[in-house]
Amino acid sequence: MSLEVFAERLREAGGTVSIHEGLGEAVSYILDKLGGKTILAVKTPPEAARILEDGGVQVIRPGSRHHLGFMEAEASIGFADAGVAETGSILYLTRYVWEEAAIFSPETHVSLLNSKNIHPGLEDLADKLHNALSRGLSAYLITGPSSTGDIEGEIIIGVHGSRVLHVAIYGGEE
Amino acid sequence: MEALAQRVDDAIRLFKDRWPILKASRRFLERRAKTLSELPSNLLPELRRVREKSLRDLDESLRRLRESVERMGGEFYVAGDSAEAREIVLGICRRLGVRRVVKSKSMTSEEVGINQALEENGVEVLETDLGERIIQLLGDRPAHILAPAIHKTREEIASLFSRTMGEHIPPDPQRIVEAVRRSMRRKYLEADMTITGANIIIAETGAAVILTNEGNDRLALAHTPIHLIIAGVEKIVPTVKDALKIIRVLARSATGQRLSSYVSLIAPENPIDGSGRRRKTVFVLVDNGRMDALSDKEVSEALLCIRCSACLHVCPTYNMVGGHVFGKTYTGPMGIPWTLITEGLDDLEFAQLCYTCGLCREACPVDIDLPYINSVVKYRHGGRHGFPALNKWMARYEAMAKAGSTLSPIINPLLGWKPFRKFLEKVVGVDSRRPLPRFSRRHLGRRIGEMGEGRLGKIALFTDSLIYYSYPEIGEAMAKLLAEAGYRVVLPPQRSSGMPLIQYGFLDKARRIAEENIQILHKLVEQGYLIVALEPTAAYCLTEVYPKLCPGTETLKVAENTLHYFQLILENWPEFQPSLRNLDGMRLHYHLPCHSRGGKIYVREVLERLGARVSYMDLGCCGMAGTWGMKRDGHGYDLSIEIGRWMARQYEKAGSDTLTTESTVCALQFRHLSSMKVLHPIEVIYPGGLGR
Repeated sequence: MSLEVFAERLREAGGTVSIHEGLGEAVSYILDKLGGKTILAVKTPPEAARILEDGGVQVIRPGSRHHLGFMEAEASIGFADAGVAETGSILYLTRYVWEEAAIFSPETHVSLLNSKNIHPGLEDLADKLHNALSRGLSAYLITGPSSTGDIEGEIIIGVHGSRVLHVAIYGGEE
Repeated sequence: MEALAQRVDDAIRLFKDRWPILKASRRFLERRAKTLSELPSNLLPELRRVREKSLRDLDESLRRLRESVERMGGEFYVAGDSAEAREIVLGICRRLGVRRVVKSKSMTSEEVGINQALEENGVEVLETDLGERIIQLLGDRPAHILAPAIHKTREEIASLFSRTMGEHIPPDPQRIVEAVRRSMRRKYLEADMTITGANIIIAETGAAVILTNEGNDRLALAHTPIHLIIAGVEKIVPTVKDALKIIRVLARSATGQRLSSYVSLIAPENPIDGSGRRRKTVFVLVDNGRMDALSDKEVSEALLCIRCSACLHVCPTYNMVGGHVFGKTYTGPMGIPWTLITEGLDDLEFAQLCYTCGLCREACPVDIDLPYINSVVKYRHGGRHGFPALNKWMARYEAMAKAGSTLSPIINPLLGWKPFRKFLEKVVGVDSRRPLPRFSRRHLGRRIGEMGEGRLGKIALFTDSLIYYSYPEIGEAMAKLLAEAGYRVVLPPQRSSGMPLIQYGFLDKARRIAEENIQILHKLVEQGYLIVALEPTAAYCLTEVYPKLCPGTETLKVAENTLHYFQLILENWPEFQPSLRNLDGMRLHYHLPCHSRGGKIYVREVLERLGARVSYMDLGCCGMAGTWGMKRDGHGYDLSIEIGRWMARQYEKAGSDTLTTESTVCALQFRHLSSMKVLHPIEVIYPGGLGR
């Protein structure tokens, strides 16, 4: 149920969603879709790093230096820490500023989300957020692509952040 | 006052027939209705409790926040006023060698004047929020706290960017946005510092919470080494759980989104990368009158505000003139107390643009009683700077109506005679274009003594000047219906509700009238009478305003025993139905008066139960607002007409030729501005009571 609501609400917020059986299938799908773009990956679990690198993705590891290339990459891939069905949001917990740069700068952002990590409501994140913030991590909820209504109230996509936000959910339908 | 009236007229001319602010507000409101209704019903009361607790514990939260921020290596300052805030920020820039700043939207920085101070000291400031950037390039100030350039057209914006970027940008929002995106990317990389506001600050962890849709804060913070947060002290909440309650509601109430595209909870002093460099975090929290306001019982409630701007979106006058006329740094209904809190009493003439319709309170997710607080501000402003003569006249409407009733054979013909109306406009300030109700010599007090046998109970009627002196036949029919259903009905001696006094801030006089009415009505309640209000505003005063004006057990008792007229009918339907006319096949529009809002829509339900096909659109306030819409030119009439004209157009477009509303005040407006037949519901459901 949470997965369906999550997908519906993220789509309403302007994002796109695909649902996959396993991580491998999700990664292949993404690489296929992003083919030809310069891609960064952050918050990558070890089991996914190899597949991504084989697919030509630059996997950025914790020791990396912040660099201007983050602004120039065409796409980024991140592994979300949680999803929220109530709002169709993904959550990233990050320690390093460069992780933010890699997630938010490129025009396209693809998030990989394990369906087990979809919570029904925002308030279900309270403990997770409290623990993370207390340890000095920052938390970012993303709900759809960057948008503005500043010109005559008309909604325009892709102002400063991502023009495209795609969430690839893996782990099946609950 | 004349200057304000002129600005109102200028704004009306500027926005005529385009209504850009109103249209944007209505888009927000349509989505808001849907997404807010998805939340559990107990969330908004819980949110209010969270905000109350946060303010109660503010001293402790400040101490705890300082501890959290400093423990992680950040810097923490509290500025007493705007000048001190500017000094602190300039000192930080000097010490850290900051030459270029990128900014994400911060109303507090507008409040204390950060941009100007930085630029005067050689620091380049770039606003990154699109709306704020437009405002910055124009050298203007925001017209709206969420959508700062809401008053500008795409053509004006395209021409502005074409000029400043030195390339042709067509008046297409998508193309404008693309050009801005391109031009700003390099600027993020060149900046030394990002300045943001904060929607919320969490004391227990030291995190600043920022909500944006554009992601400008995200880009700026991801690429600059210093983050300076400037925010009002009232933004602090004790815990993450408290913050989540606000986050859940804020975007839904503001724009109708379930959540803004980006919600950032930023811990102090994140490492930039593995090199040991950190993103420096500096908190500058601004008091600027907030701590004093905490102990100001009549105004402190305004500090609960979560800055969603729902009050602006529903405000009829704000939607027509925008924030350059209705506000200063803080605009619209919430801008009135917030200007008082942060700048004092001197520049608050714009408070006259609040006419106490009450829509802002209904929209407020934390239930701030803005209409009453705004009356308090008008009271204080009048005490310091004097009350406008025009308002003094209008506040005497009851006395004028009483005299009009006594002299009706002379006055009524004069009201239709142009030279007299011109005289009235010049001396009293009643606009000569406004059709005025005539007065009846046989006012309501002469028609109703006591009636009915009382099988169902006893009712004391409470009414207002318009029904009492101008439409007594409506009041009489309403009383007859109650008697026919089986009630004992009395019309006790009473004053009018006092709404004009409340509306214009004459609160001492309003209090005296309220006390008089309460004394009379309380005695009747003690004798087992229910109080039934014949006008929505009369009920609103008894239940919403009097408890604030003259708090006490007697006032509460009266409020608890007061019912709207049509509420009584609905709650005792079997007793009333036999007297009511069958309305099968009838089609009509229903207009809900502002002071009938906040619960069931009684009239609509009564009409539908009788078989009518009722079309109801939630269009807000009709703009008449009692005597306010009678005031000459930009003081009332022009704006009232602009609001009503838009609304009448919506009703007419929807295609019915009959409109009904239980407010005789709203009816005045629609009779003036539309070709629809306008009826009081009692004329529809019980024509026999009027001898028809």
